[in-house]
Amino acid sequence: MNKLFKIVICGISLLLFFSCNNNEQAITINCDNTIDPIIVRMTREDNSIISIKFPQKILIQNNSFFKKSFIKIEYRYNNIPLGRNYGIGLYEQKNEILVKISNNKKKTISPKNQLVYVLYTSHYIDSTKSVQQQLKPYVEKMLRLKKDTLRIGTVVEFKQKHKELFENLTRNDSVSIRFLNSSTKSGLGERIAVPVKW
Amino acid sequence: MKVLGLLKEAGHFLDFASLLSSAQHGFDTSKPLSIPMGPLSPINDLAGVLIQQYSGELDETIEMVVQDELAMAKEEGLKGVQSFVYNNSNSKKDKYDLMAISSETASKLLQGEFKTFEELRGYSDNRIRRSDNIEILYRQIFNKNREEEVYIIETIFINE
Repeated sequence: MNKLFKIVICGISLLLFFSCNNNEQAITINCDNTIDPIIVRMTREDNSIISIKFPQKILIQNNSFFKKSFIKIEYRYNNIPLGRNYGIGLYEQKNEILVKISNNKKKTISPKNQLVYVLYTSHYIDSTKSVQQQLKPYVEKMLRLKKDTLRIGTVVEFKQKHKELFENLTRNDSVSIRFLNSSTKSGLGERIAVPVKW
Repeated sequence: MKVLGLLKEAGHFLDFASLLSSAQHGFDTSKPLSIPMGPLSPINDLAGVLIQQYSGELDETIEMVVQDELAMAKEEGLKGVQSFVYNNSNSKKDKYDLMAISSETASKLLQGEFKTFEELRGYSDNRIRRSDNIEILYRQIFNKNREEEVYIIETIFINE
């Protein structure tokens, strides 16, 4: 009788252990590199680079058995001046082409599924000489081509060429998503934020 | 103004926050602050339950405090609003921000040529210049029924 009791207790505790050990989060957000080009923009005012758009792939995985919805993906810039936050451009990849979508419309992830987006940041570049000196080749090319924007290589390539500048621009930037929750008064549920990984 | 320093809503319960740290962080209501109460922690939880019913009223009070603060900041002009936005950027309920646009974009805006805020923002982003001298103060609020973020333009600052 005593032995049977022990076995039952062991069984119950094992069951509890496995059910409580399920630490997997309901939603995970991952950043990934993409081969989409970086876009630089120059201003004719002083023929300098004024903004750089870095592409970033965002994968939002729903690990739960319930559908999850959200409205927008928020990108938090940490290294741009006040008043120069123009948000992000949000895209969906369709047959090798990026299609722009609204970042202010409901998006739903079905259970055990994931959504993949590409976002383009808009990092403001100041007119500091040391910064502009590094970017001069792009300005010259744009002047030659009579264009205001230029597609340059991928983020991986940019990181190699302009390591310090890239780090200064993107340091501590993060991506966050606030999921909807109809049971709360505001309609909003938890916010999940992750640091951007390039 | 001191209400913010005394009580702070964190999820479903209210957390105690010190006046001192609230002063340090300005009106940043997003950072949860709690005082470790040691063996008294259960009392802390109980207080949370009791206070919960008042959280709605408190939200309104906080909202009013922020509005007052903003009105004061506006009187100080763009500089005042800049520091308001800087201190308030993490505010839990509303998110205020500034955006620089050109005078051409501003006149298009006033003529009603943009259907959405996203459109205005994208347009400005594609025509960004160092001399953009008009600042828009806007606020984002989530609208539960429309299931979208509503953008409210509070003020347009002409910064000659």
